[in-house]
Amino acid sequence: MFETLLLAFGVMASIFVGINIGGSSTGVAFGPSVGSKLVSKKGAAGLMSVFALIGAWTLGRKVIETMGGEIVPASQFTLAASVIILFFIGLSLLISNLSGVPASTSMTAVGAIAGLGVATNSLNWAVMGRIMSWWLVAPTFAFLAGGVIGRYLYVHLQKVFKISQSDGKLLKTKKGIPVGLGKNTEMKEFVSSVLVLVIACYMAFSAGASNVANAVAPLVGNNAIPVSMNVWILIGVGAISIGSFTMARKTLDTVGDGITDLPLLAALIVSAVSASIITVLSGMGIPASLAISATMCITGLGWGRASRTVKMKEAVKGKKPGMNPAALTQENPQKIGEEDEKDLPDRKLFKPDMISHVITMWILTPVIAATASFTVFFILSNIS
Amino acid sequence: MSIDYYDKVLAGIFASLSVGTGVGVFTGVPVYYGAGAGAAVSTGIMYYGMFKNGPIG
Repeated sequence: MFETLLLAFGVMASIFVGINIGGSSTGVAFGPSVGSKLVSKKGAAGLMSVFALIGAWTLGRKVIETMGGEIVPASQFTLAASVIILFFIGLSLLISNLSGVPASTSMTAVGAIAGLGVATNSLNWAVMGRIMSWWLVAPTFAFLAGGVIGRYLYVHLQKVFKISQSDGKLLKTKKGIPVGLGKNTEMKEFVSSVLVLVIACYMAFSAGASNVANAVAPLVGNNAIPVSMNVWILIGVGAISIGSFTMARKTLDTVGDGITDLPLLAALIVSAVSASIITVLSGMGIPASLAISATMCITGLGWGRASRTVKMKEAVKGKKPGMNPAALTQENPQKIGEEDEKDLPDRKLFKPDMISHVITMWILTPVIAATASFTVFFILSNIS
Repeated sequence: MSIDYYDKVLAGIFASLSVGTGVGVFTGVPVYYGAGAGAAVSTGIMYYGMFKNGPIG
């Protein structure tokens, strides 16, 4: 009886985690496309569900294998242990939703499982070391990609894409079927918007690949419900889909930090870079945080843009003009060092406080999860 | 285009990531440890380029 109740609680926790993942990932992936009126919220939720399923079905199972049986052996996932780990994942989602401070679900999950491993002396340190190495590589690579694009390519890309977000609908529709461009829509704007939508789907794919494990891996490892991993993937993606149709209505309105805040071109670059990082890592079975890669890419982009206004001599002397950094909406490309701070409109992109935010999130999330989980499992293993 | 301080920062990050990964690919060191060590070095360069001598004070 108690076992059954515990199992029911575990499944509920798993679905709760899935719904929250759906809510937040849809906001991140489809914020720009919903913002540019390319899809409705329902359309975004539908695309999110489809592409998250493809991602989870193809690459997601590798991440589930890592989390459900490689960091610690699957035998360590007793029913109680699985429920406690899901509880920690759910708790971090709850805290981050209530406080508005984004915590990484993947890092919480890995941290909590590592805590279990240390307490029961079953942690596979080699797997853990491998995961942590990639956790160090991913954000630096994201910064590098953003920095290179921001410093050398962005102004030229801006010329090519020339994104102007015009008023009115992007497409003329008859009975919901697109029949042509909206009256204010330029061709370039249409092409770039479609690109944003394609990249949003790519992001949904990577979110499904990376995140489905957070919802179901402990129960897959536990195997109290003897079904194949495919069934668990469907359950996980089902919950993600519920979240994208319900919670995402709110997150699509309120997601204000990060990607949705950016001009369309910057959003496109950041989404493409971070989705690629997460897709590659998922393919290697490494759980990783999409939010951290995205934020580091935004930071790199802003840094690269801001660096264009500083001349060599000033940089060497350490003299920094009181500039208004990192605008991403400028039209006329100038050579590096020739750009004036006056050329940069108001939108700030290089925000040092945002970086310290990431670093805090990046270091604290897994540490807190691991410590809390270790404490609980240490006490449990000593009283039983 | 002359090479500027900021070009060097980016080149440094790129170089340490590549060298680390390269060591992993071409020697017995596992790729993830090589890349991880390279990333640790580039994190230092990144920190310097952002906070110590960044484009805004």
